[in-house]
Amino acid sequence: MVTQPILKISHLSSSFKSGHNYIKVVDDLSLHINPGEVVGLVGESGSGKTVTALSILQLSNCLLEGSIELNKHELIGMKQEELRNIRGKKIGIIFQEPMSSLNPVFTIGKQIAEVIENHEKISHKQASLKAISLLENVGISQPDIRYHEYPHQMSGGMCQRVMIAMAIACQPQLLIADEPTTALDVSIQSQIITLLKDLKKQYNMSILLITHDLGIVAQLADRVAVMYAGQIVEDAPIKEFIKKPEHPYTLGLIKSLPGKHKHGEKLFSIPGTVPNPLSWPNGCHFHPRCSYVEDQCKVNNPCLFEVSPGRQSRCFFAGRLPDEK
Amino acid sequence: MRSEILFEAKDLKKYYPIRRGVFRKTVGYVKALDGVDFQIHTGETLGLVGESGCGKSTLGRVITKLVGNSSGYLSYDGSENLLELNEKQFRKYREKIQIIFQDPFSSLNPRMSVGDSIAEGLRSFKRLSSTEISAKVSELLESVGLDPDIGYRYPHEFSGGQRQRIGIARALAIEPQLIIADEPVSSLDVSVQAQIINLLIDLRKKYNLSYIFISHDLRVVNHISDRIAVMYLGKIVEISSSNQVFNSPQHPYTQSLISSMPQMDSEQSAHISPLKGEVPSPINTPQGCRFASRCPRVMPVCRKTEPILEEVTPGHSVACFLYKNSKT
Repeated sequence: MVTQPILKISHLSSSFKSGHNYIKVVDDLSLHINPGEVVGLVGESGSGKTVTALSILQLSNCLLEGSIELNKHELIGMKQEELRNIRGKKIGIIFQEPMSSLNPVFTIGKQIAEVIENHEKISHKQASLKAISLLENVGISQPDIRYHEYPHQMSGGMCQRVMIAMAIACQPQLLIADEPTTALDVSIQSQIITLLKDLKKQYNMSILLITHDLGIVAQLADRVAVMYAGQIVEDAPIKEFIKKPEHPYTLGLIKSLPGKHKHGEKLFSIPGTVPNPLSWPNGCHFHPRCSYVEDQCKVNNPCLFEVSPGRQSRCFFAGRLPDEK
Repeated sequence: MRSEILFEAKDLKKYYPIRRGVFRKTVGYVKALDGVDFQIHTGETLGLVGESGCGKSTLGRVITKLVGNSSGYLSYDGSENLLELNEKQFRKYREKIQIIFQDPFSSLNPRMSVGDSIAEGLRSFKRLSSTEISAKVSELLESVGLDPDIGYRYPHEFSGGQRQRIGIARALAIEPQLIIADEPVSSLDVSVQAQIINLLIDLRKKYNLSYIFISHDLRVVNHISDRIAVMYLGKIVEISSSNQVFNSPQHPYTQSLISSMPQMDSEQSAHISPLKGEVPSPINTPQGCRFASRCPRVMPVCRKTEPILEEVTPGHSVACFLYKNSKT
């Protein structure tokens, strides 16, 4: 039996208007998320991860092309009222900076209860009781007292827990976590990862985990999609991905991690820098930095194709890359 | 290989007063550094790790005297106490100690060309003609892997990695011996981080530099450092060779820090429970051991008296009662 994906993105392009031109930030992105699956979307800054997340919920005013289907319902072109029913109810989102994404003038309890009241027919009192139990669920001690506190009274880790409580308040089928731990310390980071793991089991949610840290993806995700310059360059189950990446960029990323090297030895590094969306190179977006580059890469942009069942790569040499470990 | 001590700090303290009310009366102190001791040998790299708010950046700034009013003892190459010198007397040490800042976007003056930024130190410390200066600037740019002819361009024209290279060139300009690198790679993209770390490793060899490498990324620190000091709430809780700290950490805090690092290729960290709670405020540090409130192996003695940093095995010092008891 083939499982129906919860979210299916096909050939999505997002462009921002700049003067008379449109600048493409996400280019021909296809991705699906199955029920109960955690998909890691990895990439460096400027690769289009966050724009992808915002495009799914249509929270940014960019021009969208392609299709985004949630349970077979097309989201692009949907009316605002219908979208509001989906945001927060069917799809929850956690933003990167917990301190700045909460409203400083309302108590955290009120902000969580607001989500519940908007989406469910429930009295004010019941909503606040539910908010308190949610706070408890995400590991905040003394939730009935904390309910009445403001964001500035809490630490970064606690604010992130509040954000998570808000995102899961209506038990969404899909949770988008945009760099949920980037602004946090290592010890708090591992607390949040454990929390997300537990919640995923408890609510049977799918999670789209956006991050630049391969270590976090390895701990949490079932499948990983790597973005480079607006495109997905590789899509693979996490274990196989770590064993043998099928794209020169991901190969370079994994090789450049300090853990793989002898102490004090020079690290492997990818030359050059991430290109700006204004000046993506012709052909394969990665070719100026690639060590396997050939003439065809400079002219033709390869499409994402299946290397082996369940694994996709956007490279002419996928499946034929040398095993360098 | 035991080389001479280049730099030494003893009982370094920096308290920031908290002032309230009309008369700005001091009502308390933020104890950013509360008695830090360490030594650095010539050509050695000391890694400094800890979570945000533990005082690592303050330490870098106290050493370079970018913040004043600190107490304790600092000596460079056997000199007198640097903290007691006035700015004029300290000037000759400024040449020797330089700092690379965390954020390459805000640490370069946007209205100064890159060449001028790099030459600033040369102009104030070295007596050089303008042709010598421009030759030196080109040489520096080349040594950090940039095109030598870009001196006339401005910071906004460069990417983060390139700006960090400029920051490094700037620190190197007056030929220092000790460089404090305050989170030099944490604001850079992953694929660029490795380039900058390689550059720092190359420069260390080329100029026989010593580094104090401040970072919260344990893997990066472990890679580049000879010794690592772990800080918690203004104190060093463990200091030893990087191999020791990384592979056989002794202090419960170091142990949990290392186990909470996201691992790439194993589930080994899955069974270790993450550290509970958060770093307490440095305003009212608890009596006894600072880590007692989060420590998984806390004992009654930890809440009463504060452990001091003591050698457990040669070259490996830990501030924890667990090891004191086992010895006596």
